[in-house]
Amino acid sequence: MTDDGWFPRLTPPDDRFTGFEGLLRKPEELTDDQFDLLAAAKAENAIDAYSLSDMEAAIAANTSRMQRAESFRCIKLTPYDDRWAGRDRLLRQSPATLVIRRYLVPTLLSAAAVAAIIFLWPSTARQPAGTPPGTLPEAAVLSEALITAPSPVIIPGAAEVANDGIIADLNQEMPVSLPATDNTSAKSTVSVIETTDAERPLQSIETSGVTNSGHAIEPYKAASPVQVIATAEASVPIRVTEAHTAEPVLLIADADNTSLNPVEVKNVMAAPGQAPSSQEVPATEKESNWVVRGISALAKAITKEEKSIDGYVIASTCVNGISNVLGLEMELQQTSNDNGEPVAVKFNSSLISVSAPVNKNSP
Amino acid sequence: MTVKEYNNAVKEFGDHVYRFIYRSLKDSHRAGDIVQDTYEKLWRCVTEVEYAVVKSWLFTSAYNRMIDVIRKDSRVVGVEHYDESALYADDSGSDLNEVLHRALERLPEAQRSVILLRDYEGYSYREIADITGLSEAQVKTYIFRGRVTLRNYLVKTSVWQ
Repeated sequence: MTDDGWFPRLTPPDDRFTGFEGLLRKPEELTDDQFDLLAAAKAENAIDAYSLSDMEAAIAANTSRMQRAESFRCIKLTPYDDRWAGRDRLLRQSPATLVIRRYLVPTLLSAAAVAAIIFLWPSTARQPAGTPPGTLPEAAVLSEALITAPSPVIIPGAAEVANDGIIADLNQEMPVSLPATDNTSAKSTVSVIETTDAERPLQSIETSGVTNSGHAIEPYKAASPVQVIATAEASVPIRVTEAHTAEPVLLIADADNTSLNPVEVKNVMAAPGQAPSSQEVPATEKESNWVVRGISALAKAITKEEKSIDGYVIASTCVNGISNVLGLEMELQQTSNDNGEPVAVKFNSSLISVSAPVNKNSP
Repeated sequence: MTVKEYNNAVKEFGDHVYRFIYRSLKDSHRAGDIVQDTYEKLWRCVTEVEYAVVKSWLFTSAYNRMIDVIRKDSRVVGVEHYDESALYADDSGSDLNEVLHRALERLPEAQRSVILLRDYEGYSYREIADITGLSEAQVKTYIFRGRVTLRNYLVKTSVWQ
């Protein structure tokens, strides 16, 4: 236990500094540097009241300092428009956006491209499964059919001969041969009426002329149902323009016919062993489906150019556009054989690579 | 801070930070590297920094990084040791702002930085003190001395008669 009061303390003497008056300064005695610092502070409104009064007194003593003080108001930097070139590289993506952009979008686009290849391109070259050989697709509409000369064309039903032609009886299936005549100069007309049912439209094929083999087709007067088997030795073009009925109709082959009426050909059956080849009906093979036709028309309307649009062109354009928009490295390549015919299509991207054969379903 | 806020910080303050560093160093490549390092650092601690203070955080981090680079390159010129003889050149007839920027390059680094933060970004003395790690009084002193030097430069280069 201590007591500070016990220790002795010094008492300051009353000493005085006699030169005190000589140290006092007046505002007018501020040097230029000191005044400039005050002026700089005043220009920024960062000066206190005491310093401000000193400054005003200094200015009053020397009026030239007024302009000096005002000059500091101009000492202020104006920023240049400096741009950082690498700014956008530092932008980040959220994890969800990253997953969508890197994985989901390319996967979906790849699947879409592959689907486009599969469904659009070779669609017209494929035939429906189960169609018997030698039979054209049921819904096919021929613009022109070429029947070779020795090919007998059979009515897949019976027919009866009426006064004005042959009336087909679709309920009859017994084939009856059409007898040929020896009258090579005779000129005849055969009218084939598909049905006598009033609810069905009546259509006819009118032919005239003489076959090369000298067998003329004449009107039949028999009343009994018959099936017509007409033979010809030369090719006969048959023009078809309109669709009328889904029932089978008769085709008459005649070498010199030039006045065949328009008719729809559906489910035309050739005689056994005389199945028409694909070369015999080329127009059917080249007919595009409605999707491709629509895109072709649209492309023609936009570009004013006639271009061949197929599935590969559509898919390739889609892939290139998507690749350009999203910055993904995707491409669609077509592989051709020595004859220049496409054999495969390959899709490449950073994530997936798919190769699909062309016309793999063609017979 | 969210990713969206981080991207906003890049878009909104990237040019400002770059301009501050570039005008301090007068080296665009080095300034770009410093700004990139700063944002990389921000991204690493993006969840810890509030968006409200991200601007001062960016300037503080970039300023410290710049000081490190300057020290590493031994380019530091002390406030009391700058070469005043190299301060003046013939800038008569030039634009005032252009001359001021040329004069700024000749200022000591500390004075240059505080003046840039004050004039370019409009920071208060307190904010500048937080960014640079100086006291508020030091910031004021550097700014006032820097302005006096800039004015003297203008007078001695005949821009002001």
